[in-house]
Amino acid sequence: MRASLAKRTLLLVCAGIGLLAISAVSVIGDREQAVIMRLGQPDRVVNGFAANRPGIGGVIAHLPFAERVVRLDRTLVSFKAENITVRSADQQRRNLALLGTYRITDPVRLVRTLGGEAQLNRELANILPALAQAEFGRVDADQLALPGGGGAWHRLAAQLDARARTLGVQVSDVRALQVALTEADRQTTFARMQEEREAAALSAADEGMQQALQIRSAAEVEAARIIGASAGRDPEFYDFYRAMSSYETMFADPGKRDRATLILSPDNAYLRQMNNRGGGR
Amino acid sequence: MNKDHGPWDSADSAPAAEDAGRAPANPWLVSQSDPAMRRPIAARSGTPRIRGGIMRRLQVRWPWLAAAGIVATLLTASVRVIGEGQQGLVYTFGHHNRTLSAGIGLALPWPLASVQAYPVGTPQTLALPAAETEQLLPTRDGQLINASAEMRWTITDPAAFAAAVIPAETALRDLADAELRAAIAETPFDAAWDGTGRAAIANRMAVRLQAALNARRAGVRIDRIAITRADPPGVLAESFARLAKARAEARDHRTKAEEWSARTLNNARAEAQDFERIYLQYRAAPEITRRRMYYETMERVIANNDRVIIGGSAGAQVVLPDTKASPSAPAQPKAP
Repeated sequence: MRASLAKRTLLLVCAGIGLLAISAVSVIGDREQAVIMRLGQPDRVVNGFAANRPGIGGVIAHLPFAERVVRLDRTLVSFKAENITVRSADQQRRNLALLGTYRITDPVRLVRTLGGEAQLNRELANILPALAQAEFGRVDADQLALPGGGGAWHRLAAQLDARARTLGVQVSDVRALQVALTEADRQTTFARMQEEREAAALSAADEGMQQALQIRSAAEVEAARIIGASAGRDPEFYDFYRAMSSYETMFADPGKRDRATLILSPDNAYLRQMNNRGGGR
Repeated sequence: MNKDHGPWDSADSAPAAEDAGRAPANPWLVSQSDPAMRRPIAARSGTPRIRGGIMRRLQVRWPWLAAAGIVATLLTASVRVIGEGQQGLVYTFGHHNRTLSAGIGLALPWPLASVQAYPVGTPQTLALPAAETEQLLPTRDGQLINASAEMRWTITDPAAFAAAVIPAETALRDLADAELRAAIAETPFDAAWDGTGRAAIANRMAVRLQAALNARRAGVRIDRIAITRADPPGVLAESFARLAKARAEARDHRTKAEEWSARTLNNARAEAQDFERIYLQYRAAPEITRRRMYYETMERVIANNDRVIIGGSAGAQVVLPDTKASPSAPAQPKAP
């Protein structure tokens, strides 16, 4: 029994040591940096950001319980801020979604000021709407939608960066992910687009008619000119020639359905010779 | 804790053989009194008493079997299969120290090492927006267009891709989204809609996206971007259809007018030509040509019609058969 007690104690001690060992060791990834907090105060940084030095992760040791590891991203982090309503210089309301990146360059300062990355994201979301309003209130709505937004995006990025640097963070590359109209403006836009299309449909129809008319009259003029050029050489003979071809078209088509009945007097020029009994006039 | 029945006690107080000691140490065996515990597993633990031989020998081996099982499990967990066209980044204790190529590779089991596989050199497709939904984007002239794009992209450097921006895939999608929006915002509605501006949109988008990715050293190449859709908003489909119809009709009118004028001009030319030809004959013999033309025409006219000739002073009267003349016609003989 005594031996067993010793054995059990030993086991408990072993387990305790194991537990301590595990809580004294942390794995930090290449893409992470860590601030070791000793009794709530930042003590040291592991794999902290340095320009042009790739992150090297590994196993680190720290005091169990007394030291806490705060993990932060070491890479660029893409962040989004959605549903920011701004009023442009020309009093148009737009619903923005922003896209940007930040990088934690001073992890100790971030941990001191905010505590961690979740708080950082909250902080960015908090300060963005006012900054965005301040910048976009200076440009017109149609400029706002263009890349660069009339310089507003750069200014916004600079402002945001200045604020973020006090938190140990750099912000870069802020751009528009979305510049949405408000629902009322959407309806207005739809209505305007519709009106434009209706008007365009009407004018297309008119224009088509007019052009067709022009084409036809131009052809008529040209046809008259062609005929005129020939007929002008002998208008009197042309009159005769045209009459003949007209009779031909009107009466002499063998394919026509309704035959006319011609009532001819022998005085008719065609039958004139019939009256000439025995020839000679 | 009950010392008498504790597993460690039993092992100590039964020094005869390890297997014999293990048997009562087995919690299943202790719980014999509970019939519910007997069924499948209790049966196995109970067997040594009934059929000592084989099971006894098995029991000698079970720690070894367990050890072998653990080793096998670890080995299995160490084998990493990297798919075709992929590369696996091995993070041993959080540090990327090597890269597995496609096939079977070895890495320490989790949590000592983790492997992230990325398709490298194989184009991937990204649809914007992800689902087939209407995405209304403002154009330069303040209209809204329902646009979507498809992008093919390739990871050229998986380590850079993993280390540049997180979250890598989401960041890429968001960037592409932003660039699509920006390129549409610079294009007038009609250019995007009728297709004349689509290549420019895709091109601008690709160039800018690539520049942004390069600035982030993202290890990604944009292969191709295509604007897969640039349509009017669904609610306006009808008025756009009406406009298209009006345009088609206008085009139709023009085509018809052109056909008509071509015909008219042809006829005029043919007539002028014919007239010229006859006029030559006429110039040679005016009266003869005139007479001949007259008689020839009359021949054809009369041949193709019914005719009634009513005699005048000469009394010559010819009525040809199948006359359909109205009754009034012959009743009015022409006065000579």
